[in-house]
Amino acid sequence: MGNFISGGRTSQDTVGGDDHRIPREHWPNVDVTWVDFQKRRKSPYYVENDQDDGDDMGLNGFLFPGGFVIPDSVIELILALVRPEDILRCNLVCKNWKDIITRKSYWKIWFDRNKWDWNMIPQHIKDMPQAWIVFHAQVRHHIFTKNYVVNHSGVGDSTYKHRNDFRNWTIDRNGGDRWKLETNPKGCNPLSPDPFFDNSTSAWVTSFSPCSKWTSIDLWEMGLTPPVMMTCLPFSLVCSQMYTARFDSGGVFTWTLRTLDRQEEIIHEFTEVYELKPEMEWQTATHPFPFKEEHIDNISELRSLVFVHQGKDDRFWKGHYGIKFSRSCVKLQLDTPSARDGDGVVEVVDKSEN
Amino acid sequence: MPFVNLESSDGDLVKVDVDVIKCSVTINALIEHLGLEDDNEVVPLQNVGTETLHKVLAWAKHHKDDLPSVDDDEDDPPRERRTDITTWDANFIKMEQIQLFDLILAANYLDISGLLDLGCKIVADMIKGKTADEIRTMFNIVNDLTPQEQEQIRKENEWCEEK
Repeated sequence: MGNFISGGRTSQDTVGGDDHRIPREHWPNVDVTWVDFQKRRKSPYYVENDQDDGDDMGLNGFLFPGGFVIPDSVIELILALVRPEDILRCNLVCKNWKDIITRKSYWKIWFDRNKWDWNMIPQHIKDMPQAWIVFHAQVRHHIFTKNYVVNHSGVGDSTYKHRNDFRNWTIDRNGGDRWKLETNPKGCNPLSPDPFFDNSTSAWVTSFSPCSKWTSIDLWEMGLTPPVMMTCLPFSLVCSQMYTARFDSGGVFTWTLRTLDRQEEIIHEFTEVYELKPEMEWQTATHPFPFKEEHIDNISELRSLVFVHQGKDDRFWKGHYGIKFSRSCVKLQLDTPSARDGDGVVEVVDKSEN
Repeated sequence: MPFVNLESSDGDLVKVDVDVIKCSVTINALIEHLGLEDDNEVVPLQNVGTETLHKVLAWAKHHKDDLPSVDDDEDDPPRERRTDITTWDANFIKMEQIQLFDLILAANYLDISGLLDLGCKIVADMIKGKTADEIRTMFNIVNDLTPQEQEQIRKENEWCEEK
């Protein structure tokens, strides 16, 4: 009985009491060496995979050759420690990973770790089935916490010789003695450092003839793709600009903001002219572009925002006595949905192919 | 200095300084719950094998004097996850994938957040830059997504990134 060396085993042999071999049909359905297999068997997490229905595979997601069960909370933590740019590959791995990446608890880990307030995302957005694309946009592109104007104050490292104070800006008019960056603005109050603006205290200054420049923000590239914008409705793009004159000279500041569609046609334009008397106090001009629920059908047309500022002095003095600009800013602000108490579910339509 | 005997799932006993293992929320709770006063009493750990237990203890010993993770109960602030890895930890964590996962599972069961983070970070680093296919091969994960589901995910992924 059980003498398998002799070969020619009978059916009786297989049920023999002293044959401890696992019948082949009960082997785990994976290709592992015997050593690996023994090692795995020793793990207390080993699960005998002797069922053919493969049910436990779907549960597990992280199925190792030996059949480890990795709890969801651990997979969640692992997937919250990958680089943001790896997330969109992880959700194609298996059902369980995809489910985790769609879950709010997963994204909350990212928010907590970055010290972002989880409550900044309103409930009506969190309740949408595609809410994860909004969380992702924050994790990957910081859409709710960044200034969309990359170079907001000519922030330059003064130790760097060939710095470009006008990086990301295009100079339109360079009148008088031209645009200039003042690291510590002269003839006005100093700016107090603000971490949101990289603690910079510099400002661009204009001259006796108009100086103007513009910067263009590609919203899609910055993480605000049409589906993300649709899901975020209602929201505003809030633009702001700090400006001042000097104690000895006033000036004129012209501010123009435009939203453009994908063909670079203007959707909205805002222009305001500010005439300043001699003064030293910094002021902030603000203009919001609100987008409401009823804009859902057109929001996918919104592509970019152009920010233009122009200034000059009112004394016509040689040098740089014109208006100063600092902390140009565009921020995304989520607004409260209108009273209409719908279920908040917005159908996202992909129009990018048209 | 009080000691405690930990019993691995393999039935081996390991005597440990309570101060070393204080990083484990689970063991602290067990000691408290069982009301262990005698140095010879045993805490059974059904979910940790001997080999893994020794690794856990080596890590705990090295990190014995680390500052405890900030525990301001007042506002219940988010727990900060350490993402940088020290040289000692990097050397410690060099092991076979199978052992790494055993260690992660033990850290999870014993509730040792520092060790759990370390293990998960290493796994997350393995994922870096890999395609879904490569990830599946690396961890032997079965792709249970139907072609339709994959198509849907690809579409949603396109919503996130402007090409």
